[in-house]
Amino acid sequence: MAKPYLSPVYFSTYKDFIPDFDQFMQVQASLAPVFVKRNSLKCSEAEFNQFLDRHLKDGAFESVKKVNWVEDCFEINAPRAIVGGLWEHHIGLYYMLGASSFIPVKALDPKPNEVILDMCAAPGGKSFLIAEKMNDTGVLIANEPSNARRRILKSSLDRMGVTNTQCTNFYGEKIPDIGLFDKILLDGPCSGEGSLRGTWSRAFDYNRNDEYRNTLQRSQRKLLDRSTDLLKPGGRLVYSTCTYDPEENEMQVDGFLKRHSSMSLIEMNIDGPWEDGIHQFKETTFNPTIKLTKRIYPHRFNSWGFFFATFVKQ
Amino acid sequence: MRHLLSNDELDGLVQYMETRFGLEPAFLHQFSWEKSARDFWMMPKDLLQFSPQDSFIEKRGLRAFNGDKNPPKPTTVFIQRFGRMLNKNVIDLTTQQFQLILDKKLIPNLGREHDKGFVILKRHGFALGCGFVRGEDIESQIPVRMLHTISPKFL
Repeated sequence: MAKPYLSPVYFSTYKDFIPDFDQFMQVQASLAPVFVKRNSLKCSEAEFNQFLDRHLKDGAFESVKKVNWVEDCFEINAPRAIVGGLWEHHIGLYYMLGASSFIPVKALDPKPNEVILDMCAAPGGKSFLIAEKMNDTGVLIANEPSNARRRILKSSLDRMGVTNTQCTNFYGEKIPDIGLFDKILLDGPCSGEGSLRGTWSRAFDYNRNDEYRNTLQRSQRKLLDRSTDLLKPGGRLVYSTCTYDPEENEMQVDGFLKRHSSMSLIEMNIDGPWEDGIHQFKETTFNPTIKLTKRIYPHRFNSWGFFFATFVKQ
Repeated sequence: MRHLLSNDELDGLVQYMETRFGLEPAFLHQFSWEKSARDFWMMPKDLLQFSPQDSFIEKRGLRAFNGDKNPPKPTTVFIQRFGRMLNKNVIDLTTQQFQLILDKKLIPNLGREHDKGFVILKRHGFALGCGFVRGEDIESQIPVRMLHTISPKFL
């Protein structure tokens, strides 16, 4: 297998705001670790520890490390194919996802019996985390317009044994008035720079295509606008991406705050090595509250890169 | 098109699951139940009240029973989720028995230890799915597409 290669020029425009940039580049060029999240709907902590011990003994796992800042998440030192091929994975004792993916769900703070919308739900990792936090009660609408991705979503939710979820197939920006939600997660389509750790330069080249970027940003804007209509007064919206690009992150949030005076950013008080959102990019200075948004960098938290913003509706 | 499961149909399920698998009768009554053309679906009561137009819903709740069979067969996903509550007609598989299932072979029902009908197949206490006892053999009902992707090296 060819060695993963990261184009050195790709992130050069971010040099001004990513702290310890050389260290960031080193980590970004390496593959992300394999993480698993225990499914508390199916197995207790003690049972899960037995499972981990069993596979340390039989040699499936070389080592296991509990991940800081997120609950029930473990970094497994083993090939991804082995962790994904175990029978315990197929019966839904755990879910494999990047540890950073937990953080937007922590910001959403789902509670039992709430009514929650996951606007762009596939492949289903965050939907599962939300359903689990709701203790499989209340209502979770997991929406995904792509047929292929929705198949994966449904299969993930089945495997995890979730009962409180309804899968819908709307285009997110055209979700009709099906009701008002206590909370909405908008983990929107993005250029995915944070998830392209240790990957090929070709993927990055494609990502830099201006037309593609513009389409993504238009889509993010429309999704954000629609989410406000679907949120109850006092409701919470979390917008997240797995990219570093300020045009998809802070700039989107800034424009959204200008267009929707009823929405404001809130402080999240989630412990962890996150960086505040940047206040300026190129010629643009953002709303001062943008510092309440958070950035997750892989050299600070060894997972995928992420961005998230938490809003409340007046 | 889905419709609500009738009380008689639900009572039938409750009785069967209690008699065959030892499931507490009150458990299934906590949920709302819908019936599609073939299957029975379970969900929290709130979910049923929050329903966008049917045409946009692809999946609501968990597909819990296959209604084509008589008695209805609990689905693999139901058993995997609630298997810990099922304590009658349970077989905790040995490594050899699990390997037989992966090889799509029958498990011997030595001494006809188990009665004819569905049984719950478990491994290390976790439910994998259903088996079906036919005289001297137990046949796995676990979906083949799942068995195909399981690594036989770490059972």
